[in-house]
Amino acid sequence: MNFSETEWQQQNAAMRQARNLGPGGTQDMDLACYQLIARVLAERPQGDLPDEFARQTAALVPDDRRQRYWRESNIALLVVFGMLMASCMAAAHFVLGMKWDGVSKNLAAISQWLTYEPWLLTGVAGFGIVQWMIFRMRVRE
Amino acid sequence: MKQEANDEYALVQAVLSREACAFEELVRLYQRLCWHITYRMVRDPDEARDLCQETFLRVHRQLHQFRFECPLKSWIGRIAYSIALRHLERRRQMPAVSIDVADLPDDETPIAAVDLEAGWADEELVSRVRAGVDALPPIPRTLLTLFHLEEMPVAEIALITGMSEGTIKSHLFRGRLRLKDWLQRRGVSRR
Repeated sequence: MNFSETEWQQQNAAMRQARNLGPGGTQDMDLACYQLIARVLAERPQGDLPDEFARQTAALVPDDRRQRYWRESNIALLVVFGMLMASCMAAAHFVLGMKWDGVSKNLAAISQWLTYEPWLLTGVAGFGIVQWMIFRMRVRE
Repeated sequence: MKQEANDEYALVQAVLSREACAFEELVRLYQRLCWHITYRMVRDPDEARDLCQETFLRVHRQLHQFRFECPLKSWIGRIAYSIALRHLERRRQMPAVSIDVADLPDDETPIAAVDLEAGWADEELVSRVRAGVDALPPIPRTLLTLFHLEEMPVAEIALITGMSEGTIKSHLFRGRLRLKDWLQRRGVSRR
């Protein structure tokens, strides 16, 4: 099927005639066929979007204020957690007289506490779970 | 034309500044185009509806990147087209690009000496032509819809599909020629 400029013009003429005049007015079989094809091609496809499509779609758009609220509350939660950790470290240093013995020794001590003090482990795990749930909710939002 | 561009600019700015109902208005304005593209590509109303929704959510996400270098209609059409195309690829139903591989319905009884002027009003003949259009591959079918139904010029269709104007003309030409040959082979004639 090689491109033919003459036939292309004929197809487009049929399209214009079908659009403006409706059928007929030609003895040319090809043109008449193209008019019928043009009529069918200009029909709207069956079915349509529901009337409330625009409203429903607009409702799906994420609300910026809500997103900002989640972002800010998450940051606030992290700040509170950091302050709690800092308070604990300050209390351990000033009240219990504990010294900073380097990262590895302190990490070893923390892991020992976690093993000996189940409530501490529960607290850390709880914080992790809350953070994860917040993350999931934000993703769903 | 200038007024249209101004309205478009105002609408985009309203959506970007989160004005109430602005995005809903934008969806309402372009949902018909989006439906025509996605429905012609996938031919399933439920899937087409989901793809339209996906299109407008992406439009909302990316609207700040729209630079008014082309009409908003073409930009939204391009998003709808690329989403529908990717959907077909995911479904492993790679859209056949060549019109020559289209299998037009062949199992029906021949149409005996139909007068085309009468055929214009003959619902049976029209529905057969509809079946012929439906049997075309998704891409030529969509191009023909944009050209005939949306009355878009070839240049605008090129903006939407990313194809060259020559390729689009070739698809339109061969699609209609194929349909005409198919009609004539089926015995449609002028009395």
